[in-house]
Amino acid sequence: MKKKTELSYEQAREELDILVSSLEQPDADLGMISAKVKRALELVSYCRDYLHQVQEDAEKTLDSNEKE
Amino acid sequence: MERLDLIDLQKRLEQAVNDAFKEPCWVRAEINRMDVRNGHCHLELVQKEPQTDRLLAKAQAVIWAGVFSMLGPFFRTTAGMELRAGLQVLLCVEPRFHALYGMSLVVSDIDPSYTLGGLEMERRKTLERLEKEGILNMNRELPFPRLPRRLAVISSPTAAGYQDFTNHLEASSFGFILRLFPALMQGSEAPESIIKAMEQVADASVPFDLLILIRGGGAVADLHCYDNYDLAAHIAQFPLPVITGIGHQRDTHIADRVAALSLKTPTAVADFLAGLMEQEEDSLIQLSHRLERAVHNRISREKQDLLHMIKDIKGAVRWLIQQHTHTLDILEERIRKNNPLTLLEKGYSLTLCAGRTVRDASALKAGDKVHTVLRKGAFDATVENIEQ
Repeated sequence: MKKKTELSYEQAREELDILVSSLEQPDADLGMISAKVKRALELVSYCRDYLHQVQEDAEKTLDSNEKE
Repeated sequence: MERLDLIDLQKRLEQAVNDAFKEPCWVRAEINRMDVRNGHCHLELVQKEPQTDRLLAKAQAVIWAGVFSMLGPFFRTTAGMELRAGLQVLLCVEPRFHALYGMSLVVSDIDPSYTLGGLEMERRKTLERLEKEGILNMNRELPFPRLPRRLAVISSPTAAGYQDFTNHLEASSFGFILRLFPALMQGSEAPESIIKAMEQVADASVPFDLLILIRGGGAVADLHCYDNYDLAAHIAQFPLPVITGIGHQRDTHIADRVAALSLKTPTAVADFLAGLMEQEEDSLIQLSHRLERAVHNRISREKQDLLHMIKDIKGAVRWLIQQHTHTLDILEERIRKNNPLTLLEKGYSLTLCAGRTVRDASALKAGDKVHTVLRKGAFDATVENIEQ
């Protein structure tokens, strides 16, 4: 997540889905598991922050329109 | 055969007339000429055949100054017109024969109701004629302009009524455009004069919205001219709506009947025109208020709708975020379930051989190098013995 700002929500979700699916494979490469888990949890956090930001922005905009 | 001097003949005629008319009598006649000299009113009375107008009888009459000073005002106030040539009259006369001046009728009284009756009959005939010709209501049927501003006025420029009319219009400050076409507005010459002015209006290069006929007002005057057929026919067929403000106090005249609108006085005409403008102004103000209210109501409605929409959007955003958050929760749970570090925390270890997880001991052989991962750290080892 070094370049968080360059990653869209959709890209993050797509990557997350792929990571989770690969983690669930019975013959998943254990050597990579740790890194994949770490990346997947970072993406989850990113997506949560993104959603939180989207909701906050939307409500702020809608509230200012409501007051006008 | 008797031979007489003229004076004797005249004296005998005088006596014969005096004997024949010991009392005054009432006589019906038309005034053919009328002349007032030194206060005495000299009349030429005639009787015509009704159908042909052929002269049947003619006589001279006189109303002496002392009598005329009373009969003149009496006739004027009762009949609403001046005694004049052209009128049918019922006169109380004493026939007199003078040796020097001949036959004469000395008038002592007049019955104005007879003249009025005759005029009323004439009026009815004129109305019937206009109706028969199909023009009686022509002017009334013309479309009346909504905002008449360009006014052709036929009046006497020095008349008080005309001044009142212009003063009232100016006071209204609605910017009427007036043009006066002067004419005689009363008396026997008025119809011809007014018709001439109407022709000038019709020929004018500037278009007008209305034609207005107004008379001076003031003393009671002879308005019989406004029952004239030619004038009525011209008004009825005039291409613009005509308004009359003749200023009479009694019955309306035929000119009023055929005009699009008849009002009592010039001031009433001015007030009517200003009133039309005021009504229009009020109507525009009402419309602008309605427009303002309509816009205000519409905007309020739209604002309400937008507020509802904003609430709906908020709900939708929350729901969407909730859905995504829920999905993330599930994903996170799946990640945690598959995290081998969770098992390592509990004391289990992972053993790898050549980079692959060792799940079955039979996959190994003695001497293989393995890598074992613990919760904390890892170590390498060599397989010595295998148990299956």
